[in-house]
Amino acid sequence: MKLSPPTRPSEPLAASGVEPSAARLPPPPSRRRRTSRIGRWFALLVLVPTAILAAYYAFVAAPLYESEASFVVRNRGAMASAGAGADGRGGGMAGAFATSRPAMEEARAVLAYIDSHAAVAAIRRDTDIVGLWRVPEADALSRLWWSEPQAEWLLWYWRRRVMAEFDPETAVLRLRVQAYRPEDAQGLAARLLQASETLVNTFSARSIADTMRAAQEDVEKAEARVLAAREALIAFREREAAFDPQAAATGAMSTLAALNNTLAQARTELAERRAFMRPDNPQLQILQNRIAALQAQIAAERQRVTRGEEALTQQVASFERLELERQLADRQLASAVTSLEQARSDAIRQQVFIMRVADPHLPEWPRYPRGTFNTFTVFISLSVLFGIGWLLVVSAREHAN
Amino acid sequence: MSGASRLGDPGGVSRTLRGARLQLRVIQALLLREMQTRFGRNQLGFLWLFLEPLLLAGAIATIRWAFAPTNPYPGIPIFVFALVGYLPYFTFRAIVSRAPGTLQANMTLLYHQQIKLLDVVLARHALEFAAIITIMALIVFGVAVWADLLPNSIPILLVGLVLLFLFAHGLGLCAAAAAAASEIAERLIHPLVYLSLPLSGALIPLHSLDPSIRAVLLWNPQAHIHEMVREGFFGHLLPSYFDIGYVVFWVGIVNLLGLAALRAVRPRLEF
Repeated sequence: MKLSPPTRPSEPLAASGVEPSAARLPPPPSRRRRTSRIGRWFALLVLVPTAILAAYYAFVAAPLYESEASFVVRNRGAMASAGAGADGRGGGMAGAFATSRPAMEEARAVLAYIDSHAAVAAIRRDTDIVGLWRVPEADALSRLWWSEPQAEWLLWYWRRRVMAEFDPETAVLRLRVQAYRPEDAQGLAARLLQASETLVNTFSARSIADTMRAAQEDVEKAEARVLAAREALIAFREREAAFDPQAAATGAMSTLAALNNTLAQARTELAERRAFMRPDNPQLQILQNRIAALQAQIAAERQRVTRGEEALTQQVASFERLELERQLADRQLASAVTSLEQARSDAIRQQVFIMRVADPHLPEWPRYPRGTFNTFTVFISLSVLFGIGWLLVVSAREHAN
Repeated sequence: MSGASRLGDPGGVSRTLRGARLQLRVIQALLLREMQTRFGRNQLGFLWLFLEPLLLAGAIATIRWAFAPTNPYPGIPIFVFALVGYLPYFTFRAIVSRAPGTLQANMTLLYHQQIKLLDVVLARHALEFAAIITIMALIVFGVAVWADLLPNSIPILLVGLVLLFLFAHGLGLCAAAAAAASEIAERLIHPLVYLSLPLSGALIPLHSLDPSIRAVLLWNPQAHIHEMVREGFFGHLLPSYFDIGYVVFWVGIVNLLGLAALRAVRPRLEF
């Protein structure tokens, strides 16, 4: 739908008295003045900062050399297959390498370490990192600002100069170190790599010690138990003066049974003879004597087997307990020794080590600071921001007519 | 244009400030008007601003939950995950896909001297932004109460939402200008916005994707923004990948283009 007179919504009504085309196309002088004004703001907000930055990079900024190293943190064979342990032990280094795989957790730990106070402190102990980043050729802006920095500030600067990246796909850790002298960069990178190796070795030693200690303790406990069981058995034998109460009991029982048998025979014989012999027959007398003797013997045997506290049955019971304890202890020792063996082979496989992919190189050309790139980036960013700001300002000013 | 033509007037800065104050008041008034026209005089109508995204996000969460009952992200309730992922996308879509209609709908307003094109657009977008901030606050509160999960980092969450708003605002400006310039562009905007859903990484954490696909998706600044919002909400429960600098770069580009395009199409607007 067309309204008449044809106006544009963007045209303020106040300007409707003026010829529209005149409003859209302002007279040349006004336009020139406007452009010059914008130009001034543009120069102030964009060109001047860019020029300052460019001048800094061109005349002041000291070249930074970057040394790069890459390494992999690896685990000595960790496929948890059944035969791997034997292979790892039998094959030695070759076998361990064949089954080695990247140790992700340890790699991340190394990454965290490189970025930490611990690493800074460890390196600072034998390398003058403060002096290295405060060499005379360093410019005042990019060098380390303090000659005796506090740990926090040193770490802050460290994080700008030492960068470590971890690529989860290839498991390669890339270490980049910047310094004002090529040999410094290389030296620091090498030193840091060495510190990382020390750290990883500590991991290995710790994990091996942990794994082995538990198994070792088990074995020691089992050994102590076996010894105690044997001691108890020996003490029992000495006290009871019986090598094997069970055998003794069996013997006593069979003796009793035999005596009872004989007694029964004698009684049968007595009854049989009484039928046709006179009571005063001496043969009967002999038989009766024998029966009496047998009964006495049986009573004596019974007495011996079930004699108060030291009764043979009780002896047998406590002997059996001791014997069982000894067998259990033996079995525990055997299993503990097996676990120890297993732990030893596990520990060998748990060993973590750093495999160097690329040693720190000696930089020949200073890659940093990237003056041209940074200047362009800043210029473009500022231009975009200025454009947005200018458009917003213009739209705000339109309201103030 | 007459405003721009008088830019050379003396007392530039004070005039700019006066203009900015006026503009603010205009936008405030437009904001109120926008709420009236969109939700009517009904008191409850205003609630729809919050209920609409909540319902949609709830529906999506339910669908996800129905199709994959096993939670692939330990420690994160699937409903909350869908809500947090979808809500920013909802706002993005609301801003960008409504943008082409903004100018048409408010054309009559432009007869008022004090109301400029940008004010209308800004008022609309500000309303959407206020809505998403309120909803996010509600979600944070609700999740803290019922799921016992506090957001990991409110600043990251807020910066993510602000960047999302600015990005959508810039794209909305571009879309409005493009729609005013050509009808084909207007028709193309809707399908493009819908197509951007799978590319935006709104419903899939980049961490669960193949690294090569992840690298492709990370070209899209929207993916960074969604990752940021998730990082702000879930933190270490879900590893995230984003680069604020990259998003800011894109935000700057689209805003500059949008503002410039809006100015460029202004003379062509008529009805």
